[in-house]
Amino acid sequence: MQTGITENYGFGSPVHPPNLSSADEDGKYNDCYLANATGHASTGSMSVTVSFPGSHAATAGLSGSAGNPLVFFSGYPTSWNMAVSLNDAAPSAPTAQAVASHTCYPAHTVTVNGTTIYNFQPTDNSLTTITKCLSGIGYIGPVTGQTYGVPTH
Amino acid sequence: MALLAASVMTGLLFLAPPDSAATTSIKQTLEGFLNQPNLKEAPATLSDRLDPLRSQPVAQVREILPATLSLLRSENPSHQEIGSIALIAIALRQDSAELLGPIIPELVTLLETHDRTHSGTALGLLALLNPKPPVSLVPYLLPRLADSKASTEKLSALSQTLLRAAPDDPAVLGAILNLLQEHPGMRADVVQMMGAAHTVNERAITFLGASLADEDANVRLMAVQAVGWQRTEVIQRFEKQLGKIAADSDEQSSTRDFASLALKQIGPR
Repeated sequence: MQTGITENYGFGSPVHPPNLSSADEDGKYNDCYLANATGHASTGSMSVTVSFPGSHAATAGLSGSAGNPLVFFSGYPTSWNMAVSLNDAAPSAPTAQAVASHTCYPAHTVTVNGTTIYNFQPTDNSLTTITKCLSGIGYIGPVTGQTYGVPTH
Repeated sequence: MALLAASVMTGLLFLAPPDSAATTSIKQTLEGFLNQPNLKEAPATLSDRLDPLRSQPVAQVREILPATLSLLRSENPSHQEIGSIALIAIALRQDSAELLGPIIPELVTLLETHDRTHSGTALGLLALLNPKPPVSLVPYLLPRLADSKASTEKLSALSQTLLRAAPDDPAVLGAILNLLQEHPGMRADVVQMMGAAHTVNERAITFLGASLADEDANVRLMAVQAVGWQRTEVIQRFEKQLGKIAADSDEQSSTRDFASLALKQIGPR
C-alpha cells in the first residue's frame, strides 16, 4: 500500500498565480519560502482483507485512517471501514454492494471495475466542518448501499 | 406549536449572512437549541454556520461561551454534539488558548464524559488551541496515557495534544515513548508526531534514530520524513544513517528519496 505525495508551500507561492509552477520548486525545504515541505501519509493503520463466503461470492474489507503529515497537530485523520461484497452467480452480470462507515469529511467513493457503487459527498468545505468530521463527530454509517451491476473487468 | 415556532426561528437564523452581526444570531441559535430538550440531531449545516466565529471580535465570542458550555453540560447527546461543534469553531481561533484557558479543567471533564466522537477522541480537540495548548493541560492529560483501556486512537489524540502543549517536557516524552511497549503499532504515528513537534529531547532523538532502522518499511518512511523536518544540527546527527538509506537499493524508493531530501538540507546550498 502506498499513499501519494502531499506538499506544502510558503511565502512567495504561487510565483505565477493562481497556479503552482516549476518556479515554486526552489529545492530548499523548512524555510517557509516557496516549496517548504513534502511528505507521505502513514499506511500503518490501513488494511485490505479478502474473503470468499460462498462459491460465487467475495468480500473485500477496506479499512484504515490517514492524516496529512504536513498538517501538524490537526489532531485527527480521515478514517474509513468499507465492506465490498461481490457476487458472480451470474458470471456475465456480476453485482457489487458496499457497506460503508467513515468520517463525514472528505468525500468517500467506492468503485468496482469503474462503476461507482458508493458515493458520499460532505456538506461543505468549511474549516469547522472539516475539523468536526475528522474528530469523529458526525461519523457516517454503517450505510448499506444499493446492489449494482458491475462490468466483468 | 412552541417547538414548531422554535424550529422556524432557528431556521431563519441560519439564513442570516455570516457577517460581524452574525455572532448575535449564533448566540441566539445556540440558546435556541438549549430550549429544544427533545432535539434528535445537530443540523447538518451547523458547522458551516459557526465557521465565522474564527474571525469575530473576541468580546463577541466571549458571549457565545456560556451557551457553548451549557450545551456541553447538557445530558442531551444532540446538545453535547452542538456544543462540541461550537467549541471547535472557537478553538480554531488564533487566540483560543487565552480564550478557553480559564475553563480548561471543566472542558477536560466535559469532553471526556460527553464525548460525541466516534473513537472516544474528544480530548484531542484541545490540541487545536492556538497559538498552542496551555502547559496547564499536562497534569490533566498525562495520567490518561496510562489508561490501559484507552483505544490507540484516544492515546494518539492525547499524545498529539500533549506534544503540542509541551514538546520538550521529559515526562510527556517518556510517557508517550512508554506507550510503545504496549502499543507497538503506534510507532509510525509517534515518530511522525515527534518529528512534527521538533522536540530536542535526547530520548526523542534516540527514538528517531532507532526508527530509521525499524523493521517496518512504513515506520522507516515516517522516520526519514520526520528527520528531514528537523533543524540542520539535528539532521546532521543522522547523516550516516540517511546516507545508508539513500543508497540502499532494497529500500523503497520514497524512503530513499526522502533520505536524499533530508541530506540535501544539510548539504551545500
